[in-house]
Amino acid sequence: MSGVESKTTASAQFLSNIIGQAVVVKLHNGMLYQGVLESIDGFMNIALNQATEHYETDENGLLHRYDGDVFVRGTQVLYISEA
Amino acid sequence: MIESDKQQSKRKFEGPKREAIINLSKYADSKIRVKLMGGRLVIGTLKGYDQLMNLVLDETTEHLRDPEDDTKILKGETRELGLVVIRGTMLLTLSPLDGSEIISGPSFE
Amino acid sequence: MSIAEILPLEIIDKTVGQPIWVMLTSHREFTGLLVGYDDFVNVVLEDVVEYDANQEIKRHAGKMLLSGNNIAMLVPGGKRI
Repeated sequence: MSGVESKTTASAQFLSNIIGQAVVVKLHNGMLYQGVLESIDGFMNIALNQATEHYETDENGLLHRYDGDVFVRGTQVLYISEA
Repeated sequence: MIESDKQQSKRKFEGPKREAIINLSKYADSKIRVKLMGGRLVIGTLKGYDQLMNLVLDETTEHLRDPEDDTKILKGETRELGLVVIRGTMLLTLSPLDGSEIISGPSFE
Repeated sequence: MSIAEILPLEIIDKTVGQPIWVMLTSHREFTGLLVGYDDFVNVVLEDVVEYDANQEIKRHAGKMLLSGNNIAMLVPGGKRI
């Protein structure tokens, strides 16, 4: 492939840069999780800490607060974004 | 990189020949109609493509779906997208616009 | 007629650093600056606006990794209208 693909892809680089940071994760069904990114793998499986759960945006009411870890299945992840 | 490894091992399975079942070059610079997974419908001029059937269309028009029913295309509701790249993974059907016409019928309100 | 004129991924590559408009198979769309992409066309965007059914629903100030799994179309130049 041309250009951009030297050694690490843009996606891999992004993922390694955001570990430990506050992130927003949205799933295909519209669920939104905000928390601290514990870890993430190449399948976009995600582990969050101290996460909150909202529908679509955090302006919609808090559905759940997770004090421990939350694991999110990579196949259902639409995006992960810096909070 | 992982992708190319995958392609190589696939090639071993399927033999050396790996040609697309349709030669898109005959549609180069002509209008084609493309349906995508999820119900999007676009019409545009084919400017390029690759082996994975990713496409480049220019002067592209998207025909909008009924927000209530993704399988239904709203007649006359379009928007101009210009130059677009279409993912081969999401491609459902591709046909030349030339020689086809929109018929009225129950599926096209 | 000549062979393969423009490669789709070449277009994406040339759009890096510029605005792009990404449409999923659903009614969801994203616009932002294209930071990069990978072999699966997962894309990294910056300063993203997220839309659903043409309604703006969320803005993201930082970077975002958008899964390529459901991307149907990409439009260099960003959202019009």
